[in-house]
Amino acid sequence: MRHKTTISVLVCVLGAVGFAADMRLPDKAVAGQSVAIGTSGSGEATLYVVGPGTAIKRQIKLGDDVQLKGEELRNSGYYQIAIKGGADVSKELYVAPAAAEKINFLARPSRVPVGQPKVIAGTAFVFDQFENLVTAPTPVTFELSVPGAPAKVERLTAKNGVSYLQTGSGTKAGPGQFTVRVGDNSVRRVVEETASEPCNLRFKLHKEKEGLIATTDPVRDCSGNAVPDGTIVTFISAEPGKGRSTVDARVKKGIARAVLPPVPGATISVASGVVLGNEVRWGGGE
Amino acid sequence: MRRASDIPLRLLIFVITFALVVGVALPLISRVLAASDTVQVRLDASQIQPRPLEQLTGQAIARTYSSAWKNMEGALEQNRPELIDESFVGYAHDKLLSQVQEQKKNGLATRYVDHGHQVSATFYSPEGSAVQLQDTAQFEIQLLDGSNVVSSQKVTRKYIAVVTVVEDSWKVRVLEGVQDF
Repeated sequence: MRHKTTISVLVCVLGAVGFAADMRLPDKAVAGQSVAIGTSGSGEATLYVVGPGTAIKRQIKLGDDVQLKGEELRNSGYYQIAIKGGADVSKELYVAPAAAEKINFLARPSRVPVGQPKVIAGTAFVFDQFENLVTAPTPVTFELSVPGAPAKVERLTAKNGVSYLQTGSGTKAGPGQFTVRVGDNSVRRVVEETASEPCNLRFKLHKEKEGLIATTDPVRDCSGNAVPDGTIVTFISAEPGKGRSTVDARVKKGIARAVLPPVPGATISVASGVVLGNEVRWGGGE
Repeated sequence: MRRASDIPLRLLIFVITFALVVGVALPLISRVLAASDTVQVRLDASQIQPRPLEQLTGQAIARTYSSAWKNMEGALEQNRPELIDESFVGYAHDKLLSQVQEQKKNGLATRYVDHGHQVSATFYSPEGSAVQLQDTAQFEIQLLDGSNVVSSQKVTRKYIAVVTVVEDSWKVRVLEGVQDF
């Protein structure tokens, strides 16, 4: 009787061992690449794979390898893998991102005056072909170029999927090409570099039938870039005993022009924004 | 007059009743608390680059990230895709939506018992539209087939998130599990 009981227990234990499931996961898995999961035991069981973007339930035969296709593991991150049937077992599989292929590029601003420090910023987020953030260190090249001026090139390394550049604008106005490159892939944004504030603002006076004609020299910034047409230039006439009068004129083809009343002894000056130019006394010379 | 032999019996009844009350009530209480609590997020922005995170922005980011996790956990447990829209955009949104749809199709669900997130804000883009977070989170994650728990794992996981400005609020654009920071 005692032997019978012992034998029954042994049969049960061995039977259970025969059906027991275990699984072997690969040491390394990469997004988009197929993976084989080894199983042991015998009989039918259900495999569950749940992770980013995925939830798979599949009947499997214990003892066989289970293939997960690359398209089933496109997203990097943690996957819970469980087998139910025989003995239940569950493990965690980490799937790493694939190689860097895509770039999300934020570039600001779209328009900026020349000669300003740290005004242009570019941030690059690096992704693989399946839109997984590539966290491994990745070389990133930023390039900022304006036609007719040497390009600024910065080679950096993206850390945890992000790299950024903060730089000043150049001295030459024009449509700047702000490009970021990862491997063979690049993304381009346009940063329009415009002339800065007028510099060395000067004007001349001459008299015509309609009054005093004030005409500026070509209005340029300190780097020699012509300021954009439409820039406001203000002529101020300080007339003895009468106060001040002002006339605003827009730059047209690089020059601003205004007609002023010919008041003898008036002092006429010019300004644009916060920049002051020369002064001319009408009837008394400069 | 009480007999001495009644005392052990009364004590036994008291112990059994107490055990029953505790056994039934505790899971219910914890379920109710889990459902109503916000996800705990502790945000540290002392190491952020290249610009500092303003206090109000930091508070908004922590709130956004906490409610994103709450919404994600709700969406994955109840297979409700509409919960994702409130907190996620872009790649993170698409991946979560796909997981909810796949779970629904196969009658599966994922339940997170969230024990909190220790989050470092590491990057704030110069133009102020994106913040990167590094999150170390502790959970119990249960995989459910119908109402049966298929597996349950206590895990500590690391995540990298990118939170970006969308219209007038912040939303999670990237949320990825990583092995290390």
